Amino acid sequence: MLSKREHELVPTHKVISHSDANSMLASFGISVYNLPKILVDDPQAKKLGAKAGDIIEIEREDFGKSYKYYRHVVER
Amino acid sequence: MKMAKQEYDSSVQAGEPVGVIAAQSLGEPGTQMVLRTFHMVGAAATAIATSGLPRIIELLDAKKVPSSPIMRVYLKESYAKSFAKADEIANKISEIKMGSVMRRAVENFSKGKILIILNAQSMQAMDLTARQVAARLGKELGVEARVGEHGNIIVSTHTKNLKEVRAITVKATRSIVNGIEGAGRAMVTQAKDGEFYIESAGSNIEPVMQVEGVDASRIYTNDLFATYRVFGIEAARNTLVLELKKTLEDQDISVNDRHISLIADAMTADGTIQSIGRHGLVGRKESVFAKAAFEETVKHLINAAAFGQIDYMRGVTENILVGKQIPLGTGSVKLTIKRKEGKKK
Repeated sequence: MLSKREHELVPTHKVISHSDANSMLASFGISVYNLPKILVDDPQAKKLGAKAGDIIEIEREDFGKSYKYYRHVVER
Repeated sequence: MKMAKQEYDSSVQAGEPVGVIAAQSLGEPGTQMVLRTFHMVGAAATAIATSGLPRIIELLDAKKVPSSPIMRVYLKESYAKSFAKADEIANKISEIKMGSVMRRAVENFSKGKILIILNAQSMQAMDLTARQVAARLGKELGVEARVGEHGNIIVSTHTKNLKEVRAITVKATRSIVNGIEGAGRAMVTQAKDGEFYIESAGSNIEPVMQVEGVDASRIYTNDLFATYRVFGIEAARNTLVLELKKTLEDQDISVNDRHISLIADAMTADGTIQSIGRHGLVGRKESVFAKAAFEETVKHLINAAAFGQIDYMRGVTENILVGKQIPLGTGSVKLTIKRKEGKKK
């Protein structure tokens, strides 16, 4: 295995900065509330120390195609 | 012009009802699937898993525990090459209950002792010694258990109360004597590339990951919620995709991966695993009419009336209901005219 990921099924998670988040949202023309969510107490969010309101960028690889997926960190 | 190009380049056109198409693409082949639950899969003797339509329903309903949990435990390189080493780990994991190794239990109420007569044949078949069983039993129940004559086990309780002794007997016969609770019968299997791994007819990944020699980064379970608890929502989504895909493939049904991905994304969009249906995705809809049109019509309407809810008529269902154009496809586009340009002509 090349990657040092925790598990095969867990893609790389990363908290992105506010400016990056804003430009990403602008490029899609949506608000944070349109994003899929991830709970603050999700094991991956915990590991990154993400706080509610952060945006997590996920490098997904689906059926050979890689793309970025975003989740908005929310309280339970 | 820029918008037109963007539209042309995108893989899905704006206003395309992808959700409906995904639902139909999975629903139609579903009608051709077998309704039987049990079905042998693969060569491994342990793998008598729920398959076909019942499994699909189980996944989409987001059942907390799968009806036939399965675990695939891969091993670290130094263990994965020899059968003996892999078998050693499998023995550590494999769950064995007292009931399957004992013949009967005899209680001595006046002394407060229980004599457990073991079945030598099954003990040998499962590679267990009486000492191991006694040690584990003592740990599980918190009582003194030792090996007596003829390899039988003597449990000494600290009470002579008839009811309490009987309660301990019942507990002892149901106790685990080897392995990890819930892990089920584990067996060593060989992959095509020669690697040995363990397949198990139960699932309890948290303790199994701690076992020495187990490669925790490759452990796999078909238990969605266990994956969610340990690895988070993204891993649960991936498990959902893999399970749906595998179940469909087992029945020689091909559904485009994108439909499966979309369904998995929709089910995990709010950070938890939501079922599809009244208690999950549909129940979360904003529109009162959309919910009323699905199930439990009267309940939703009465609730909405009692609490003075507002329906903004933004969805598909509610607009069909009142005979308006739906906000999909052509209906999602509205026409606006700039005043000044209009005047020039």
